[in-house]
Amino acid sequence: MSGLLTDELRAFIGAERSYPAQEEVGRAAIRYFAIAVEDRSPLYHSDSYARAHGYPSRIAPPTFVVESGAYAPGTPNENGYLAHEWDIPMEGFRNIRGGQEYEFMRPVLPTDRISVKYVLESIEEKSSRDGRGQLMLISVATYTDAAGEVVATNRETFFLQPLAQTTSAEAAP
Amino acid sequence: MTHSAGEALPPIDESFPTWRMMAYGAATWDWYQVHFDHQVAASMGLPGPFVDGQQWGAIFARQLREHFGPQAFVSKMALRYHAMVFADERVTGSAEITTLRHEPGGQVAEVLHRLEKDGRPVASCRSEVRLPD
Repeated sequence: MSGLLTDELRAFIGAERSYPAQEEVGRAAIRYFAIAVEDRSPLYHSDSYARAHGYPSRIAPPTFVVESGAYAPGTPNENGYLAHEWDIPMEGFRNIRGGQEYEFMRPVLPTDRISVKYVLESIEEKSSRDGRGQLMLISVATYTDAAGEVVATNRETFFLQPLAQTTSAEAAP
Repeated sequence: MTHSAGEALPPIDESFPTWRMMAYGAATWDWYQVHFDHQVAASMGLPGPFVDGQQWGAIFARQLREHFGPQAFVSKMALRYHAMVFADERVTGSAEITTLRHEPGGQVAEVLHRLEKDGRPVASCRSEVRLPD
């Protein structure tokens, strides 16, 4: 292996970033997301339909809370990217998203105020399929409501591959 | 409704024009140019803007709701990404119930989703859904 995991990178292990809720989720944001993913269920745009099925109001589609980049404050970078980043030095690497594990505790409502905390759980050097080195990062996001109760978690796996060996897998963000 | 292991969920068959990728990016506050800008994608050596992989999670969740109804609760999803999908490409997908088990809160269905383009895997997912009594 090629010593990709430098002390500079190792120092990021255990890093945390927290983003307090800035506002309620909102009905429009939920409806917009549902339209964008072509989910036409009235659950996401009709309060009366949702109440008839046992919910206090319309709800958000399950992955709304974990797919949104709305939490991080700030302005878009030069690539238009706005959401949370670890600011890891990545010159000469491409960031490949490997997968995610979501856990949902309850439906998200338009009146929820969602805060999120990210923890960079691990960085490990791994062999890619062709035997060359790459870095595997695991980042865990925990989403909480105004009462501090966890509503969802998102455990994401990324690979940092030297550009010379990048494959056609999903590139992130 | 009674469910059983081996039961198929509604299939997926859809394309991703650039406007749809832009809409998803805007709805998720992700304006990363390579998801909608052909020139930026070309400058990165890509054949076109590529679909944000997280969108597959939303599509698999939609598939679960369509099958299990509005009172089912998606409690877990574990996604794996295998290949990129570029603007205007078509994906097809299937899913089936692999296991049904009883827990104190009710019945839980485990589902395996698969998404492909041209017969090659794009993404897969294992989901858990709590079913209404």
